[in-house]
Amino acid sequence: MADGGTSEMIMLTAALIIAGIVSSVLLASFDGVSDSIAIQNSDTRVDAQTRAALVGDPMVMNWNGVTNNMTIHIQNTGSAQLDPNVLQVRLSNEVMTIQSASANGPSNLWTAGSLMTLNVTSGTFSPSSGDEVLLTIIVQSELYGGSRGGYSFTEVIRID
Amino acid sequence: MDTTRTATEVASIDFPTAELNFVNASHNGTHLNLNITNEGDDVMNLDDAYLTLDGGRILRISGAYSTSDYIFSGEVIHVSLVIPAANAPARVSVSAWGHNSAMVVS
Repeated sequence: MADGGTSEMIMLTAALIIAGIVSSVLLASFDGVSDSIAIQNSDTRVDAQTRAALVGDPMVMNWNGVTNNMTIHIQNTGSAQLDPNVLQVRLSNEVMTIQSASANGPSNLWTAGSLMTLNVTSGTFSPSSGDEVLLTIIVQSELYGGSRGGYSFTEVIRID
Repeated sequence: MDTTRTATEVASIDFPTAELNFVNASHNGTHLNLNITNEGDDVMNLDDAYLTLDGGRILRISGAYSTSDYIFSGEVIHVSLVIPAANAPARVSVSAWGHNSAMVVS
């Protein structure tokens, strides 16, 4: 009887220890999942607030063949402020060099609704008048709670 | 709970659906005359709308139109710019919030 009581006590203690280990593993795992969902939510929210669009006439995009550059106007059509330092412009999938960039938002920031004027150039890209090429713009938002939103769009433009 | 709230916030982000289009565009020798209407659902701040002339010169509509700051759904505004015949554009476009509309100047 006494032996039986001791072994039952050992079994109970062992069961409690195992249960404790399992529950702490589960709690740690739930914490990880919860953190991961929170980060994903933040990314999704900023992504949804990050938008941009071409301003101007895509049928008449002036390429200066002498200085080998083009002026492009991009409007921030989202609600997040965009970061001009991580902007990318591609013409016919060639990454262009941004010579200058200026926004007309308050304090020259690229805020919602404001316009970014870009001068872009390339050492190798030299289209002719009438060429129809793909213009791709890739933008990112400023950091919001450690997350950046991203957005890109591609349009066919005709070189004038 | 947090996930639900975030999904709701994302779904509720409301981008303007104002769509500015030309009713007509003409040049009379001294002025470029543009009639622009808002065919979207939302009121548009004219600070956020831009005109492009021949794909080059770009200007904020609010800088060329002083009667009001906004264009309402269904409203038509008349924008007149002093441009001599020698510099008259052949084509104009209006852009705002991702919507572009272009027209040949008559």
